[in-house]
Amino acid sequence: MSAAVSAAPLEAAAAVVRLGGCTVLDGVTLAIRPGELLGIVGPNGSGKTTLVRALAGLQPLAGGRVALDGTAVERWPRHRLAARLAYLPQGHRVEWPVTVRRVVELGRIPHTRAWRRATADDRRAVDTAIARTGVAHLSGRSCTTLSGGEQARVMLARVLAVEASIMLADEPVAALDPRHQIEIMDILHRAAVAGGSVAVVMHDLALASRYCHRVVVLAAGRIVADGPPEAALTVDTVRQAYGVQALEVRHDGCRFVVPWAVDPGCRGE
Amino acid sequence: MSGVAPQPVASGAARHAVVSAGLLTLLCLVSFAALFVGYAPIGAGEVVDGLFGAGDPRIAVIVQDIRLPRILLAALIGAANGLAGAALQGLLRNPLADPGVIGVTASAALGAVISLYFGISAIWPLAQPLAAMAGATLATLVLYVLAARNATTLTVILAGVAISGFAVALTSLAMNLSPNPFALAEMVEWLLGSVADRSFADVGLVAPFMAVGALLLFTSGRGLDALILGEEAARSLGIGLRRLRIQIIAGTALAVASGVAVAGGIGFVGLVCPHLVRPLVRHQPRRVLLPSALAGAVLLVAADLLIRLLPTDQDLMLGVVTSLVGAPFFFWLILRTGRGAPL
Repeated sequence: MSAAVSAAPLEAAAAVVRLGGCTVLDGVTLAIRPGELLGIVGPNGSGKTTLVRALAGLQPLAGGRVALDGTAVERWPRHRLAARLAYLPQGHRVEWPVTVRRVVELGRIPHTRAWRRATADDRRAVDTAIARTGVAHLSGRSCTTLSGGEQARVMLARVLAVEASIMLADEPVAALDPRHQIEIMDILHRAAVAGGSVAVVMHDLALASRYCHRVVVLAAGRIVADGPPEAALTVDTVRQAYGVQALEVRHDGCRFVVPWAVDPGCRGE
Repeated sequence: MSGVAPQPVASGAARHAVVSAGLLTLLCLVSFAALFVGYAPIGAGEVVDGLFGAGDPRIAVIVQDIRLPRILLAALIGAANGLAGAALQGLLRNPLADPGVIGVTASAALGAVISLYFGISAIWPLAQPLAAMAGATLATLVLYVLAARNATTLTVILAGVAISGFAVALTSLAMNLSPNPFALAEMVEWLLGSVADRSFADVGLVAPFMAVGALLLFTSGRGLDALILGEEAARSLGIGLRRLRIQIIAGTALAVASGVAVAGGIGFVGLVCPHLVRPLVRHQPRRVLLPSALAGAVLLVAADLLIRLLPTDQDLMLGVVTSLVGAPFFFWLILRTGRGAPL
């Protein structure tokens, strides 16, 4: 039992979420494992964001449970949970024109108590996060003047600065050009390979096949496939989840699916 | 690679210290200058003597019991409004927020007007400040219930607007039904807002409430910083948003309503001050709090000094002056925000 706990510190078991009378998550069971980059894919409205919010302890459940180290997330003291589990919400909104470094420093909030100055450890964590995301040249810039790609990397640096063992990122590569998408996925992949448990919500199936160690496909609040990309992302699961016909492409020993046309036998929604 | 940026970045705390020290010095200078200006023509030397109780006892009374409490009250009310404005703008992440917006000012004014309407304040002087605070507490309770139900920030703003509107309507009703012209005149004069002819009893009445309110507001800094990233990210960083909202709303009610209770409606200080100091401290919400409070104190003491220097037949009321300056600023702010300029 204890071995199972250490293998999967964060687990959802039959998690159910209802929002405004709709069942958004319908009994999802999922473990986030160390050293693994987990891709969460699925059509719009399939419950991806709700799932990561539930995993982050931000979404009350109507049934089932989400547990970190065997303790339900809502029973964790807030700041201790925050130090273990970093969450990057969708969108990269920054409310005031503060400097990039200041934003990255916010990632240290779970580790510092009120009225205490930043420690050498905090500064090292911020420096490391800034270096890993390659935003050192921006650190004195105001966050509101950055391009989309720069902003995405700064937000990722903020999440890395938490130095949490678990990272949940909601569409970190949305609206980015291919180069920035690859850069972000590289950073997340490295974090997972270094021993972190990383879960990423994404839409690009080829990118998911290429980077993720494991992919979960959600449809209508249920997991319809869960496994390594070559098993979870097949022509069949894509048709089932998205109602889309996909092509299978092979390159360099890897197999990708590329969504190609709306499946005539399926009507969206 | 790292040689370019660290310089301005490292100076965040230093900037905050320099700006705060500068504003504190300015406050001392303006307050000291204000001691020498008044209706009774008193020489500078006599004012200094009077301040320390030496010299002519009549002058000592004027300096210690008339000028000093007036300056102190202006500084306290200015600071409370500046601080509350900074905290509210940080919490609601809205550059147009101020204590007036969440309905605290109007509700406090309503309470005071009611005490004037029934003539209770003529019999028992404490009735007016207590009624003002009761009004503000009522408004705060409504907001508290909303915040406790985990309503969104927008709900809090809209509820504040509704509360404010209702309080103004009830205030107008009280004036409409006013039994005699004297009571009406009293209400109007009080609503205009002034710190003239206040005593140390007034200062003593507001100081404890302001101290508790200020403590609540100053300790909200970490939460306000986390809110730079929005509510979801702030929660994931371990910030209890419900507690933060309650803390700031209660702090605002205590700090601002007690001021309204003794000085009437003095608006726009809380709106303007955060904007004046924000660029100086590089916009970090936590570092806006103290400078904004100091700027509020400086502004209000200076405005009250200006009133005494202006050669008008009828004394201008402090609340009228702050509104005359604040309202156009508010308008300019809306126009600038509309153009998408950085805050």
